[in-house]
Parts: sequence; C-alpha cells; structure tokens
Amino acid sequence: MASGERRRTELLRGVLDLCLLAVMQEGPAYGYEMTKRLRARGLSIVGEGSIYPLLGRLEREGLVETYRGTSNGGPPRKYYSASLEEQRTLAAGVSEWRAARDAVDAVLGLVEAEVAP
Amino acid sequence: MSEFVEECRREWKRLRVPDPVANEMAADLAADLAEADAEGASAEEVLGSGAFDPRSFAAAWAGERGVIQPPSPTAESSGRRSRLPAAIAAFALITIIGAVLAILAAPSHPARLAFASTFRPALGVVVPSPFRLGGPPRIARPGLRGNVPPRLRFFGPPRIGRPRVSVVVPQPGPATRVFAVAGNDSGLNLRRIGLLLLLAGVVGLVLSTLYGSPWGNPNRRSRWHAA
Repeated sequence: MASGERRRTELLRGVLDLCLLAVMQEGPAYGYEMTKRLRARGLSIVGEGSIYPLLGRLEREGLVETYRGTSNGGPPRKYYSASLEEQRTLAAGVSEWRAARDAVDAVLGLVEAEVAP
Repeated sequence: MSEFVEECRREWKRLRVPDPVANEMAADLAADLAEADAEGASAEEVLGSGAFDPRSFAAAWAGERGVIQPPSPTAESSGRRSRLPAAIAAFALITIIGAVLAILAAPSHPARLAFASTFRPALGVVVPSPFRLGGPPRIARPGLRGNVPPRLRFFGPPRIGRPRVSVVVPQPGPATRVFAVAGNDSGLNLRRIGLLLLLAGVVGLVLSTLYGSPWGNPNRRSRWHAA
C-alpha cells in the first residue's frame, strides 16, 4: 500500500463512523445503501475497511436502531436508523472533527501556501 | 460472491456465533453483494479491503457486534482436571490395597529387605533402612545353610546361633539382589512399610477427594458459588 493510501486509510478510520451516522440522517438505510450514499458524496470505501464491522459496533453501542424490511421487492434487509443517542454522538464527533481539522489546517495550510505555485 | 458468504459462515460457526445472528448477517451480506453485482459494482466497493480476506472480515464484523461466544476457560481443561483426581484416587486405592496385603503378609517377626552387591558376594551388606528405629546399621556376614546353593547367600548377625530361614529373591539386575531376611535387627520392616503405604494411600485418597470437591478446586468452587 502506498504511503498516500495508507494515510488516507488512517484518516478515514477515525471518522468513518461519523460519516455513517451522517448518511443515516437522510433516512434508514441498509449496508450497501449506505455505501452508495457515501459514494454519492464523493467518499469511496474502495481499499478501506468495510463498513459492516462499524455498523456492528454502532449497533452494539446503541447508537443506531435496526429493523428488518424489504427494499424494492428485494430480499429482507437490515435497516439502520438514527437513534437519539446517535444525534448527540454525531454532534460531538463533528465538533471534534472540525476542531482537529482546523488545528491541522492551521499547520498544513501554511505549507500548502508555500508549495502552491 | 456466494463463496465469500460461505467462507464467512464457516468463520462465524468456528467463532460460535449464534445461528440466528450468523444467518441474519449472511443474508444481509448476500443481498448486498448480489445488488452490487447487479449494478456492476465490485465486491471491494461493498466490502472495502475486507473483500480479500473473508475470515478476517467475518471475525471483525462478529467481534464488533459482540456476538462471538467467548470460549469457556475451563471447558478445555475440565476433562483433564476431572481425570486427575480419579487417577490419584485409583493410585491411592492401589497403594492402600498393597499396604494391607503387605501388613497381612508380614510375619510376626518383622521381615526385612536387604540389598547385597552381587559383585562382592562374600561381603554382603545390609543397607541401613531409613525406617529402622533401633541400633546402628550392621554389616551382615554371608553364610551357607544346608542345600542352599552357594550363590544364594543369607545375611544375618553372626551372634545369633539359631538357624535362620531366609527368603532369597534373586533379581536379574546386574548390580544388586534383594533379600527378604527373617530377623529383627536390621533392614526394612515390612509391617512398617505397609503402614507407611497405608498412610500414603489415605493421604492420596483425601487429596483426590479435596481436589474433586468444590472446596479443593477453585474452578468448581466459583461455579458452585455462582450456582
């Protein structure tokens, strides 16, 4: 794995659960449907860790509610929906992400300005 | 695709994931993979890097869901542990039986076991017994009586003039021969040996009983208290 890919993986690992919680804000979704929502927003998990273990952890921690339902006549799927706890966790996580992002930007932004033509 | 799901199933079974949970995860996974396949998406787009290692993927998913049944720490060793007290008890019983036989077989005059070097037949030595209570170890003098072949010698204190009956047990070993000698002045006391064996057997029996009981085995004790 190239260093760029490895760095991207490491960066995503800390926030992928927040991304899943965020796409659940659009409405209940099953596993692959969430993958498609992420992809639609420009975030592909190709080469990254699977979302299924993350969904399992979110379920175990009570951050999501689940139920089984059918989708467009397909087989029954497990749908994940946001819980009240999820709202608080997502809000706190987004706040932490933005703080970290701003701090990193404050450092790397200068470097980028110097490198940019 | 289905091969990937089957591999996951096998891993969940190995990890003792409850069947209903494993079936649910397998059904969701199969449906997602089928949908992705129908849309022309690769398995990697659904599973990420987990697409290349179904066993790790399955273990991670089940682990994060918290549905892996932890192996019982005592399940594997419980069989071994349960056999140990039984083995100790059996050995103790055999020891007790042997001790009783030794005590019953012992003559009214204590018999002793003496060890003599076959390399020095003229200077048979009665090995001082650690169980012997009275008197210092004695050097016995070999002698011949009646029709006893020359190679079978008996050992006894020269000061006792009466005939002595010796039980000679020739051993095939090259170094020593064991003699059971009638007398009361040296060697191993069979009755005392029997009593010591009896004591050891009883101690072994008690230990095996304690080990097999809830008070002697911490694992059983914890289960007993839990119950």
